[in-house]
Amino acid sequence: MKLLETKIKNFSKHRKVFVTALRMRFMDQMEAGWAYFFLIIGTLLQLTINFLFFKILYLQVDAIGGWDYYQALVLLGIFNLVNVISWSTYRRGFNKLRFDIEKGDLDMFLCKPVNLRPFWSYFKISFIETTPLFILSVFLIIYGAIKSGSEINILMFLFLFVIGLVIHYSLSSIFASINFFKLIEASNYLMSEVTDLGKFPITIYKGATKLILSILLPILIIFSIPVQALFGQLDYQWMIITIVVAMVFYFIGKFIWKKGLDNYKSAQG
Amino acid sequence: MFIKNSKLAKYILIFKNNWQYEIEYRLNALIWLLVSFITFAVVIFLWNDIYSAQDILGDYDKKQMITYYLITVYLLATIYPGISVTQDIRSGRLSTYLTKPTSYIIYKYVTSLSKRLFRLVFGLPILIIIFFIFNDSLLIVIDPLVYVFFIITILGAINILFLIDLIASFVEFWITYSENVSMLAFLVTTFFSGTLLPLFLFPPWLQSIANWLPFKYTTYFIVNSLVGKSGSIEMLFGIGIQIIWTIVLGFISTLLWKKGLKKYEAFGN
Repeated sequence: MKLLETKIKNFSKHRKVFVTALRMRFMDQMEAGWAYFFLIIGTLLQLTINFLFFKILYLQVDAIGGWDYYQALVLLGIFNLVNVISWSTYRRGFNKLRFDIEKGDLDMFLCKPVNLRPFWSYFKISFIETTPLFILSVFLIIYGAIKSGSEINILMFLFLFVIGLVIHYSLSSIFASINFFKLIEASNYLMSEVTDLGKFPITIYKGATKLILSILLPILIIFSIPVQALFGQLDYQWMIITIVVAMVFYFIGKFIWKKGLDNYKSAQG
Repeated sequence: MFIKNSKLAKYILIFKNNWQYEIEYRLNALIWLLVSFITFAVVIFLWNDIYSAQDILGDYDKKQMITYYLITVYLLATIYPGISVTQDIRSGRLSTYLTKPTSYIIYKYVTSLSKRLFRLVFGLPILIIIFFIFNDSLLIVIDPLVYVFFIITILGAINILFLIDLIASFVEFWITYSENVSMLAFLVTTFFSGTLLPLFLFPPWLQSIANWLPFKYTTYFIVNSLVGKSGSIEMLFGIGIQIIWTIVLGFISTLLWKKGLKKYEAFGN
């Protein structure tokens, strides 16, 4: 009973901070309107370029890794949707961690009476500039699913999409936590590049690479598994692997963050 | 003696200092390179899959395509990371540079040249090792003249990339928080330079757009020549175009610099 009360109290505390963070971001956006305008154009351009990349490739071939054009469109939609959700919520905060450790600004956050990891996941929250890309990504998924003409399994897709997000969140947290131990300028770039590996169908990878990118650095299953689930091409083995990997990485992410915080030495002395 | 007393001596010193800085932070350069070469591994899987259905794609066989991507990845990791001046303008740090007996633009050019050349040299052993390991899948050019052209055109590309960076960053004089303009410029550059896909795969209308832009001469032209797709006259012609673009972009950036300085308010200082 007491545990439940504490949980409710914590949740209420996070809710208040969350609303404040959202309001602060909105004020930022009003102050730097042009910057956000260019950001919206940038995100849409990124999607257009990725779309053209696949379009041009599929002008040369009928299938990549056995996936047709419409399956690839769904994959592209999911790839962008995960990215857009992560940038709207946790990625910006995790990316900022390196700079805050470097400048010693993290101290200011350490004294706040909230659990730092969830706080770090939402204090840079912002939806305005990512909304157009969100809508377009959902449109791509629906368009690809309808045009493929295959039978679709929406519930399984949604379930595995959420599981994929959990893995992505955990990986982002792990890459950010590296900076607690050693400041790496390229840590954010590393996460972006690793994420980029997932925009190709899982079926093009073979042997050890496929295994590594599915289990040790599970970037492929974040994006490809929901596509396979949507089109009913997923076998149960992979579904179980995905769920287990998500659980393991969630706890690894939590553990490394905690260890990292213990290891943290302020740059301000 | 002449150099010691000339204006050039200052810039040589700046170049050396920045080179030292890059040596000090070589881990970042190494991570940047390694991550980029991981992307290359993925590209091999993608093109293996695509070439399993055909021997020739457009103008390239598989060996040429994989070599194209390896060199592209190398260039992307070495000459693409630029130096932004946006922060200098926004924070008011630019004032410090303006009072120094050096030209701000040349100062930035020298530091960016040093950074890019350092990465080119630092990444070369990794590139050579990859050529040794995958010599069966890669095209090894024997003609020394091609390498001479390669080095000259890389220097041309560095100039063009620097000027594109500069022009995008100068937007900060008029619009605060304009980093996203640099991001837009980077996206357009990478797409039209052929780092995502060789330009010959583009549909004709997109190819004609690319032909009228400077980006093609920062990667596609260079790598296409290296894999033996251009004759000496075409290479010389390309170098000529690189020079013309450098002059045009140099003119635009100087114009923006002069106009921007009139607008500059040095707030923050």
